[in-house]
Amino acid sequence: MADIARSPWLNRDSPALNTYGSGLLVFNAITAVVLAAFSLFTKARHDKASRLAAADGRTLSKEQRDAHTQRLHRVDKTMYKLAMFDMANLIAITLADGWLCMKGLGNTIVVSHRPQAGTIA
Amino acid sequence: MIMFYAAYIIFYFVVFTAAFTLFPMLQMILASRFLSRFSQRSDRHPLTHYLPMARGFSNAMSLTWTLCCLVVTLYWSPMSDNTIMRYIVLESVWGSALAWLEGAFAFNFRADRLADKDPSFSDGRIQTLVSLFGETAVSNHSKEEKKSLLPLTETVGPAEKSEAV
Repeated sequence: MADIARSPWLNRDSPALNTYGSGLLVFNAITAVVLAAFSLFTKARHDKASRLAAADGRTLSKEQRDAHTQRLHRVDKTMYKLAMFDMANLIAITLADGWLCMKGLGNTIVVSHRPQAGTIA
Repeated sequence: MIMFYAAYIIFYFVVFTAAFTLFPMLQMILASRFLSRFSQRSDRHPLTHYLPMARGFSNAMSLTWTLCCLVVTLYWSPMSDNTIMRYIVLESVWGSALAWLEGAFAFNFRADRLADKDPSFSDGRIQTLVSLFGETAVSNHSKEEKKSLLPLTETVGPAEKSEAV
């Protein structure tokens, strides 16, 4: 996992930070897929209930419609919290990377961004 | 020489600020026009009818831009090549993520206030959109007045205070 996260921005000597960044992306991808699947499942279930009710010549009750809206709202709020979590992590990673760069200036900013990184004279 | 550096700094400050504000604003304009046209074409409900749809869309956009922000910051470094160009892209991605997060916050947690206002931006003018976005942002972060269960001593008159004692 550290290989796919080999970033010129992040410190190449800090595999922990690289692994954390790529792990965060994997976590986001899995959570987004789960949320999208749950949202689609909820909509499909609601549509099916509406169709069945229409076939019986009745409409869904207000409680049923409110419950459906609440479920979708819960998905949206989870999505929003995930986005805020990502922003907080982004700021933390940027600060940590800056601190690492300042700590080992010669080894990170100057050397790691040359084409042949890692060859310190 | 000093004038050159001053002009250089001011120029890039203006470019970065424009990238940070104009690109998100363009998205807001397009999204609001799409929403108003959609409401006009379908069944002419008031815009508050489409709040759940707008909420889902704004949340998805905010998560998408935040992820994009993460990917750009992690894997497309402005420190390696084409620094200025990459910083401009990074600024516009950051601005988009923040703008959509603000909108998503309003739709998630302040939907009642939006419904009270009955937002109408069908004219699509930039001035209207900017003022609406500003009003929404201010009302998002303004606290409601706290109502205490008992009257505070400062608000009670002297006669009432003596009676209370």
